[in-house]
Amino acid sequence: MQRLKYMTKSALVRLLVLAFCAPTFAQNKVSVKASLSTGLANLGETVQLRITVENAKDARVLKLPIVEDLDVGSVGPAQRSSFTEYRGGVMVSRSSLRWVVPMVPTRVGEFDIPAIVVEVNGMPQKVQVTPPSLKVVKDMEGAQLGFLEVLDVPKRVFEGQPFPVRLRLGWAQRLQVTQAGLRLPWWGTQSGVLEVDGPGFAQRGKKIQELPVNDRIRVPFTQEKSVQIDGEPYHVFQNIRTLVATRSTDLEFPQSTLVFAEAVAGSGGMRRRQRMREYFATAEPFGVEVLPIPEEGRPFEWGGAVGTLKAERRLNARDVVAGETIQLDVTWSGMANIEFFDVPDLKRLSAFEGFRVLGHDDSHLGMERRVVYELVPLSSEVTEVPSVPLWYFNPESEAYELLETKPVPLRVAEGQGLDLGDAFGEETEGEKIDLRDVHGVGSEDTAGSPFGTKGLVGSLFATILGWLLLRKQVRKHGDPDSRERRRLRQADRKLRRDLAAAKDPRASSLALCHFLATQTGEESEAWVGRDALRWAQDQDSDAAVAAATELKQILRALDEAAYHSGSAPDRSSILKAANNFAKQVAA
Amino acid sequence: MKFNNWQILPLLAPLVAIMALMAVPATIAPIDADLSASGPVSAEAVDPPAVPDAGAVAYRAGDYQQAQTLWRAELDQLSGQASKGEQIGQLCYNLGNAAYRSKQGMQALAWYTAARRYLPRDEDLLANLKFVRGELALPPEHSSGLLATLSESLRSWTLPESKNMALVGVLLLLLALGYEALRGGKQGRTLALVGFSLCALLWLPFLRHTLAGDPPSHMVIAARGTNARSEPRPDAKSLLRLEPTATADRLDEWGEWTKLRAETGEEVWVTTKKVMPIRW
Repeated sequence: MQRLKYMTKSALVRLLVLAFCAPTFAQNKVSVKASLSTGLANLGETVQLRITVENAKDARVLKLPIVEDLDVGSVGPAQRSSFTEYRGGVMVSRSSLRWVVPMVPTRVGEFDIPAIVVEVNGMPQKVQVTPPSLKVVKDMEGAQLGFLEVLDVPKRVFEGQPFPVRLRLGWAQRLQVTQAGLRLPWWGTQSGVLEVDGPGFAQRGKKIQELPVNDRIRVPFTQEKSVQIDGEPYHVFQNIRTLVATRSTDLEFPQSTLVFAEAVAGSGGMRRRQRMREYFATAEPFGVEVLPIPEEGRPFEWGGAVGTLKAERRLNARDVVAGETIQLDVTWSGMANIEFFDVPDLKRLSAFEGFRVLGHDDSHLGMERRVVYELVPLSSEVTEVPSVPLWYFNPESEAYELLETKPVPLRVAEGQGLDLGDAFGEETEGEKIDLRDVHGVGSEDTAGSPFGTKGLVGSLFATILGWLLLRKQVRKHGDPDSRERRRLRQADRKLRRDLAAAKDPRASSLALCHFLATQTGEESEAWVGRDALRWAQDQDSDAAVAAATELKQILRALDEAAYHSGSAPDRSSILKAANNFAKQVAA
Repeated sequence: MKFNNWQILPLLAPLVAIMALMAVPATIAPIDADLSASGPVSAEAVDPPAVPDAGAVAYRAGDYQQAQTLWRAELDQLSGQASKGEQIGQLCYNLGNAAYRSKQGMQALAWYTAARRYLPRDEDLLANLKFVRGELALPPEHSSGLLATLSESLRSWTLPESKNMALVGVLLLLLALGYEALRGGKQGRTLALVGFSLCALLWLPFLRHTLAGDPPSHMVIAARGTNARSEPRPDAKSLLRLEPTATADRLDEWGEWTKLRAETGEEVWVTTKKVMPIRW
């Protein structure tokens, strides 16, 4: 218990000392280092360039060493670490930035590593790499335990000629290889070549092993039969690529490396761990000379085919009626630039004049090009499908050669005439495949439009503007669709109808009275015998009196004509008087 | 002062007068414009050809070159006369037939394309156009679909026809709006709406002609297309490739070279023999 009290007091005293003593911070000075992970490496092995900057606020790598035959990787993001400690009562703070840059030598020899440039706190500094040189030796053990070969590559090819690149690799069966990969600097980066679908290689029944290439993609390799090398069995894997040279040049393929590793037991007693033992096997660089296709002797019909080819043909029917469609299936195969040449256009061949060529369907798979031509024999005179010619450049004979399919005998029965409907799959009954006839050229002028563009646009706008003005003007006197206005319009129409139908002045008089009653909102009988002038005077309107005077004369004239055989006023004067009066009444 | 609605009708008189005044110069304007574009026209140029069937006689006799020469001479006489549109179309059509019979498929296609401006609904012309495209293994001119069909139907009217349709549209609108102004009500509003709709519909071909402007003046007749160069020299830089049947506007000529404005807007030179005029 007493010991516990003592320890508590001691801790409190220490805390007080720390609290009352002014804390002193110290910052270590800036340092920059660059070092290689090793000064001696195997060919193909990855060597690490480690760059460390300590106690700097900010730093970045400006320049990496550039050394021939030494592939230097890119600078990734920096690893940051920092910590603080008390040392002799002083608080010491440390921080560091660290970059690791991979470097892979591609030849044996000694490489001098120049200084790198690092910007520290805004100031560029040259930093010497330690050790200043890297010695690269061939991994003799790796070369004994494994192998990598690039086979079947021709020394020279012609432009457009496909050529194989066979990669064959393996390692001793006694190794417990758990990791393997390839470093192929030319893979996918070689200019002047294109990779195409090759003839493929037999995979049936074989085990496929995918190996990483350049740490980027995984490529399938077939596991081949084991081989004995110096009495020792080896696992063997293989892959065949097909490349096409696109221009005349010297293609150079740098050294390729196979990296394979086995797990070995590490030292360290009970806590020992497995570590990887890496081996490196290399294949020498190789080159291909690409020659231009000779101009001499080049036929006009040559469509760019280069390689060795053979052709086969097949016809889907051999006994047809003129006008029916047949399919000619032509297949070209071989080690040639199958995808890239132009297939023969049968429409341009005089041998196919007896046919109408409707079109063709073009496809390729691996080293095989298949074209299905749709043909229509035009008459019973056609007795065969002629041969289809293809000019190609043969790199073996170094000459242009003509490859022709064999003609196919054909029996064509006379049809009912070839029509477009059959030929093109459309329903154009009775329409023959030929031009429609020429027309007679008349001399009559074409009827033009009375309006120009401006006139049309102007009339449209004038119509709309006129509508707006008219609308406004009409609505000054109220809504034309109101009940009252509709009633008055109906009365007007009825008066016109009644007057037209009236057979005597009496009927006209009654029609007028009915109209006037409608205008004044009374019964028709109210206006029979009424003195229009007096009625207007009662309304106390001078204009109404003037209109009523005219109306009174019309009414009187109608009465006289009805009862005293006088002459009746004409219909237009009745309408005029009635409308005048109605207008004044409405006002 | 109040008055009957029908008595307002005289107010329309000034409107009609304005429209009439606008119509009179407009009737004259296009003809003036065409005449000025084609230069002074002699009495001979206006007269009908002396031997109208000479081309047809040569064609029937199988002398297609002579037929082309005669029809071309007639065409040159009529070129630029708006009132002779139908004759120009027929001549272009006949020249297309003669070119095809002379085994000049691309030229035939160009002639038919030229004829189509004046005879947009001529069945024989459309059939021959389709036939020759098929013979030349060219893809169909128009794709299917609603928009393509609509565009095609708008193209099937000549400019004078589309103007007349637009005029009918204005007259229908005038009637509908007049009724609406004088009578109002739901019936009037419905009629106005119908009038506007019909007018818009009838104006579509005219708007299409107006907005699209003149058709391109030249067509590429080289079967494999042609290189369009920056200058009128065979070794000048090739700026783009004009495909067969591509159309463009002619800007200039220099020796055996023609300067065109391609559909992309670039101004390029091509050899004159690889293009042909399609606007007459």
